[in-house]
Amino acid sequence: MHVVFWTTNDCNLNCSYCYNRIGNNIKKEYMTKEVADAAIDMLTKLDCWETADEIAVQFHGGEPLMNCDIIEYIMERFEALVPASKLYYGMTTNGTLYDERRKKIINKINELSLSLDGKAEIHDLNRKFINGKGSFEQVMATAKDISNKKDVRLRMTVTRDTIGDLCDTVCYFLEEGFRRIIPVLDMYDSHWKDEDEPIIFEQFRKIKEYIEEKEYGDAVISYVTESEFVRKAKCTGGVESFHFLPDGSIYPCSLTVGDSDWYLGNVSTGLDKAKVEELQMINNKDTSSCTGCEMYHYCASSRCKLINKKITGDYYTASSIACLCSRLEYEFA
Amino acid sequence: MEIKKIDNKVKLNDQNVKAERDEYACHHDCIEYYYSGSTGAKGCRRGSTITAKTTRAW
Ligand code: SF4
Ligand code: SF4
Repeated sequence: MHVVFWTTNDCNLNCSYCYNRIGNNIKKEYMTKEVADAAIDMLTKLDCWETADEIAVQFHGGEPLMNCDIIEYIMERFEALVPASKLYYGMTTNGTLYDERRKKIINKINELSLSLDGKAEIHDLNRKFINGKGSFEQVMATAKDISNKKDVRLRMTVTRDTIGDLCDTVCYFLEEGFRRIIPVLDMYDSHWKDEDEPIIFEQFRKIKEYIEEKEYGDAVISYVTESEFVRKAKCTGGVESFHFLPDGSIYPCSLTVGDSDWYLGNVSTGLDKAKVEELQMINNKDTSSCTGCEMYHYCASSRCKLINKKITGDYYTASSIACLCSRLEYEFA
Repeated sequence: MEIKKIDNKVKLNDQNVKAERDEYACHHDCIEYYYSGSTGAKGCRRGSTITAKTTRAW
């Protein structure tokens, strides 16, 4: 079972591309103990609560660490209900809030993801404090301090504007001592063009060459690190996977959060079962655009029809950028 | 940009493909920060180790 608590939609940064930025007038809500209790109550009544061999609890936001009270409370509640061997924590943070109390929370997180866009000049273009100052220096200091104690994952969003610098940026992070660097091609960037394809492949090939040359065998980097093809299982959104917003709204996954079409109800009123069935029904059909492709069962486009719909407008038509990601995977296998 | 189907199985061979029953549940890789839980702590419970490919966008 996988549950994500959006502890708040408030944030201490004011990133230029964020839906949440000041000026968009989004309500800065904070999750309360009542909402968390109702969510946990709902979860414990589900069949899969008993059968799940792991309960993964993720904290997300806004900046999740702006609401330490609720993180500590949720941890306390889960720790009382679930044996330690079954319980795992994850968090995505912007890495700028790092005092003693937050260090204690971070210490308990099994999978910590820090968002970094690139070197200072790229990162600071968008990821700024409210006073306009870039956040790079602080994020790097946090990342380094954490990486002395535990594994940290640097998550980079790569757009058409930054793809040319990808290899350079990844090599920089490698030289700074990081070993888990996850560049993710921005699926929502509608500007990707056919001529970008060779550039994307070339950047990843250069990264691979660099790792081999430097013998960084322990580096884990998207696509480049060899791994097996793993068949995609069915969508579990709304069945074993839930996102809870500060106001108690429930969504199946982060892809759908805020989308009224995929609102699954509220913790106070319960799950909309008909909606969950509708999602399952859509996702259980085949992606017709991909019939005959040998990668079909290993490609994200075959499982998630909602991402197809978000990008191409049709549930059963795969997006070209998702396709390219699968072909990158195939190239480096 | 167009989608391009892969029409050979050269790399989808026995060494590269994990047994079909070992498929990844959605939350292991569908949204990249879903990649948490035991997968983060000790590798996938289905016996796979942490790889970059399981931390993709979805
Ligand atoms: S709708 Fe897509 S992203 Fe959401 S849970 Fe299902 S497969 Fe995963
Ligand atoms: S999106 Fe591309 S790689 Fe994936 S199944 Fe379709 S054609 Fe194949």
